[in-house]
Amino acid sequence: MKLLRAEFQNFRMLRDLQLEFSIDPNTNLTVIRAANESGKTTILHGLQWALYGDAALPDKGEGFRLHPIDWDEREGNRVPIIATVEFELTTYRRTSGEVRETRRRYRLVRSAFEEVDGGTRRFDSTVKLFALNETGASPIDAPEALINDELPPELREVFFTDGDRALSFIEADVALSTKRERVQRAIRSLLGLGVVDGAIKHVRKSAAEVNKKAKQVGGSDQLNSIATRLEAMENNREKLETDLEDAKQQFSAFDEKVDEVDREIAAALQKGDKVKLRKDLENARAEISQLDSQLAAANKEHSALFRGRSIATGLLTPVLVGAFNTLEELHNQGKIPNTTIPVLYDRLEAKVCICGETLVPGNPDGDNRRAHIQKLIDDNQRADEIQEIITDLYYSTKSLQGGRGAETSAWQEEFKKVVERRDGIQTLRDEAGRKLRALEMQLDSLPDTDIQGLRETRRRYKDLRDRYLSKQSSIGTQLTGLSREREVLEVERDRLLREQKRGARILAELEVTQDVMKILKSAYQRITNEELRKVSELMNSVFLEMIGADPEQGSMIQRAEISHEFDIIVYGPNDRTLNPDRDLNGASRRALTLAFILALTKVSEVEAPNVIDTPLGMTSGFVKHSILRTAVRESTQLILFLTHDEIAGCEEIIDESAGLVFTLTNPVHYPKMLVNDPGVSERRVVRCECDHRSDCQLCLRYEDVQFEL
Amino acid sequence: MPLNDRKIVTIILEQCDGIEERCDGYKEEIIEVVSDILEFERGHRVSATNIQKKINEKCNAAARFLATRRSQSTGTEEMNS
Amino acid sequence: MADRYFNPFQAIDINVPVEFHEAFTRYCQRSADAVIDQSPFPRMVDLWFLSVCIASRLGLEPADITDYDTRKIIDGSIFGSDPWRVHTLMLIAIAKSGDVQVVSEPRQMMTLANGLAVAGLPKVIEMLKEGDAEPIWNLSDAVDSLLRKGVVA
Ligand SMILES: [Zn+2]
Ligand SMILES: [Zn+2]
Repeated sequence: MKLLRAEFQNFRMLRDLQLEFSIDPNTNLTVIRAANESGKTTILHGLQWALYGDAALPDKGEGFRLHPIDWDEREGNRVPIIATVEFELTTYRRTSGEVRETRRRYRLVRSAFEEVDGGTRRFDSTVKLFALNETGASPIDAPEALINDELPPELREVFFTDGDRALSFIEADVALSTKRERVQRAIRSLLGLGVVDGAIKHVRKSAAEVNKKAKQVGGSDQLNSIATRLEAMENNREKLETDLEDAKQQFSAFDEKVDEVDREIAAALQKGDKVKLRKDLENARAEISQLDSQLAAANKEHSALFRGRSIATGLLTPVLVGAFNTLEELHNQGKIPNTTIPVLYDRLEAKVCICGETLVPGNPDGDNRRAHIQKLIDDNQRADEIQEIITDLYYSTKSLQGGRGAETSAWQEEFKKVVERRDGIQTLRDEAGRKLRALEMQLDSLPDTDIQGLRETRRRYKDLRDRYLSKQSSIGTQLTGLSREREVLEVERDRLLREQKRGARILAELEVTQDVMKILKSAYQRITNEELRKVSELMNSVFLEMIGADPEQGSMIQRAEISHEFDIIVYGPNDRTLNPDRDLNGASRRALTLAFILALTKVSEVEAPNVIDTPLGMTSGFVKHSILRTAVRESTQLILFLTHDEIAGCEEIIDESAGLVFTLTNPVHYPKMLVNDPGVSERRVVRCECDHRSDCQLCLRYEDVQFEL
Repeated sequence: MPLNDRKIVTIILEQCDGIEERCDGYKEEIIEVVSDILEFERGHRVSATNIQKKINEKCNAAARFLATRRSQSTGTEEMNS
Repeated sequence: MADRYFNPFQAIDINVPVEFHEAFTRYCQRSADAVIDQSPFPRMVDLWFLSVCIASRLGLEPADITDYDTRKIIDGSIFGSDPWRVHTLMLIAIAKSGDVQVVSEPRQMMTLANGLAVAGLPKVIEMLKEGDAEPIWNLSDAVDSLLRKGVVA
C-alpha cells in the first residue's frame, strides 16, 4: 500500500485539510513541515481512524471528541466528520510460473456524525471503499477485510509511528516478556504468519475429527478407549491453549499497568514530594507570621511617634523660648524655691536654726523664732498654689529645653530608626511572601496524586501480573506432559487401527493431517527463524549506519540484534549487553526503534508507508543526517512530520529525496510565534505550499529558539 | 491478497519436499491440499466461511487418494468407501 | 515630685467641633486591630495634642471655639497619665500670655489649647492626606520636613 492523498473534514482541528503524498520511487519522501501543535498528532489519529475506525483512537475512542472543539453551533449541532484516504495497492499473481504485478487505486471514506447538543454523542462511523478507475469509482464490499490484510491493525504502530512512542519496543521498564510479545506480534503479523497459524489450528481440528472416527471403527475395545482418551486430551489441550493465551495477554496487560503506575509515581515524585512541600509551606507560613508580628510591633512604634513627648518637644522647643525665659528669670530671682519649705520644716524639727540659734519651744527666743519661721512657711505656702505649679513646671520641663540648638530633633532620630526597621522587616516579609506563593503554586501544580495509594495499586497489579506468570508456567508444564502422553497413545492407536479392517482408511486420514501439520509447522518455524534473522541483520546494519557518525556512541555500540526470544539486544565491547535506557543516548534509542521498524517493513517485502512524527527529535549533526538518509533509502514510502528544528541542517537531503514538501500552520500561534496575522478566528490547521526552504505571509515564524542543539 | 503471499507460498511449498512420498503422487496431492488450505484461510479472513468443513473434506480427499493407491498396490482396500 | 503632681484639667472636658469628628474616628486607632498605617494616632488625645503643637509651631491664632458646634470627645482626666502634656499646655499658655499667673487658671488654658487645636486640625488633616503614601507616612514626612524647616517667623 502506498498513500496517495488524504482529506479531512471537521476532524478535530482539521476542519478542511488535504494532504498529498509522493509515490515516486526516486523521491519517495514527503515532508510535512509543521511546528509542534500544528495538527501532527491529529493527522496521525485521522489517518488511523480512516483506516481502522474508533478502535484506532486513544482509549478506543472512548470519550474522544472528533469534531472541532470550537464548533459554532450556529453551523448546526450535528457535525459531519469525514476522513478520506486514497491509496494504491500492488498485487502479485502467479500465472504459469510468472509473477504478474498489478497496481490499483482505491478511495476509502469514513464518516461519522457527532451531536453537540450540550454533550457530545457520536454515532457509529460508516466506511466505504471504492476502486478508482478511468471512468470513476466502483464500490467494494467488506472494506475492513482489505484494510486488515494490507495494513494489519496490530501493526499500526509500525506504519504510523510517533517517534517518541516507538521507543516502547526497547523500553526497559516493561517486563522482558511484554517487549517480546510486542516484537513477536509485530514480526509475525507483518510476515503474514496469521494465515499459517490459522491453518495449523484448523488442520489440528481435522485430526481430532479423524480421531473420533477411530473411536467408532469398532472391533477393539482398546482402540475405542485410547481414541476416547485422545479425544478428551485434545479437548483438554484446546482449553489449555486458550487459557495460556489468556494468561499471556493478562500478564502483558498487567505488566503494562505496572509500568503505567510506575510512570505516574515517577512523575509525581519528580514534581515534588507533597509531604515535604507541605512541611516547607508550614515553615514559610510560620516565618511569615513571625515577621508579621515584628511588622506589627514596628508599626506600633511608628504610631507611638505621635503620642510620645519627642514630637511635642521637637515642634514646640523653638516656640516656647519665651516661656522658658520667663521661668528662668523667676528662678534666677529665687522665686522658684526649691528647698525652702522643707529646710524650714527640718529646722523646726531639729529645734536649731541654720545660724545656730535655739528653736526650742517654751523658750521665749525659741518661740519667737519658731513663730517667724512658721510665718515664712505659711507665706510661702499661700503663694505656692502658683509657685508650686511653676516650680514643678520649671524642673519638669528642663528637658523640654534640651533639644534647643540640636541639628536634628530626637523625634527625627526615632523616625529614622522606625523607617529602617519597618523597611527592613517589610523586605523580609515580601521575600517570605514570594517564597510562600511559589511553594503554594508548586503544591497546586502537583497532580493530586496519592503516592502511597499508587504504590498500593502498583502492588496489586504486580500481584496479578505475577499470578498470571505462574499460571503460564503451570499451563506450560501441563501441555508438555499432555503432548508426551499423547504421542505414546497415538502410536498405540495407529497400531490398533492397522489391525482393523476399516482402519487403513482412517489411518490414511491421520497421516494426511499429520503431514500437512508438519509442513505448516516447519514453514512457520522457518519463516519465523529465517525472517527474524533477516530483520535482525537488517535492523543491525541500518542502526549502525544511523549512529555510525556518533563518536560518543559509535565506539561503545558494537551491534544490535533480535534474539530467538524476540528480544532486541544491543551489544557493547566484549559482547557485553547494553541497557537501552541507561547506555544509549536519545538519538541512539530513536535510531534503534526506527531501524527496527524500517527493517521489519523491508524484510516483509510489504509495500507499506512509514508515517513518522518527530523522527529526528533529540538528534543533531551527522547522526541526524544519517538517520534521515537511511530512513529514506530503506522505506518504500516515507512520510515525515518535521519541525523547523528537525529540518535545520537536513535541507540538502530533503532537496534530493523529497517528492513533495508543504507546510502546516496553526493560526493560534499568532502573535507569539507567527509573524503575520493569519486572520483566522477558529482553531484549524492551514496548509501552504512552502517547502523546507521558503516562507510565506502565512507560515513565516519568528526564529525558533534552538534548544535541542 | 495477504501481506506476504509469495513468500509464504514459496516457503510452504519448499517444506513439502521434506515429507514422505507415502504413495505415488502423494506429495503432489499434499501440495494441493496445503495450497488450498492457505487459499481457504485467506478467504476466511475476508468473509466468514465454513472453513473447518472445507479443510476436513480436503484432508479426507487426500486420504482417500492415499488409501486407494495403497489398495491398488496391495489389493486390500475396500472399494465401497 | 510625682506625688505632688496634680492634673489641673482633671475636671475639664475636651470639646471638638463636630466637623472634625470624622477625622478623629478615621485617624485614631479605635480598636486593637486598627490599621496603623491608616490610623496613625493611638488615641484621640494624640491627634488633638498634635494639632495644638502644630498650631503653636506654625504660629496660628487660636480659633474661637464658641463659634463652633462642639462635642466632648476626650475627658480631661486623660492627662492624669501624661504629666508632660499638662506642663506643655502650661508652657504654651505662658508663652502665649506672657504671664506665669495663667497656670492657676485651668479653664483659660484649656480654652487656649482647644482654640489652637481647632486652628491646627485642618493643617494636621492636610498633612495626613497630602502625599502618595498611607496617612502615617504622609504625616511622618510632613512632620519631618516641618522640623527641618525651623520656625516660621
Ligand atoms: Zn537662724
Ligand atoms: Zn508558507
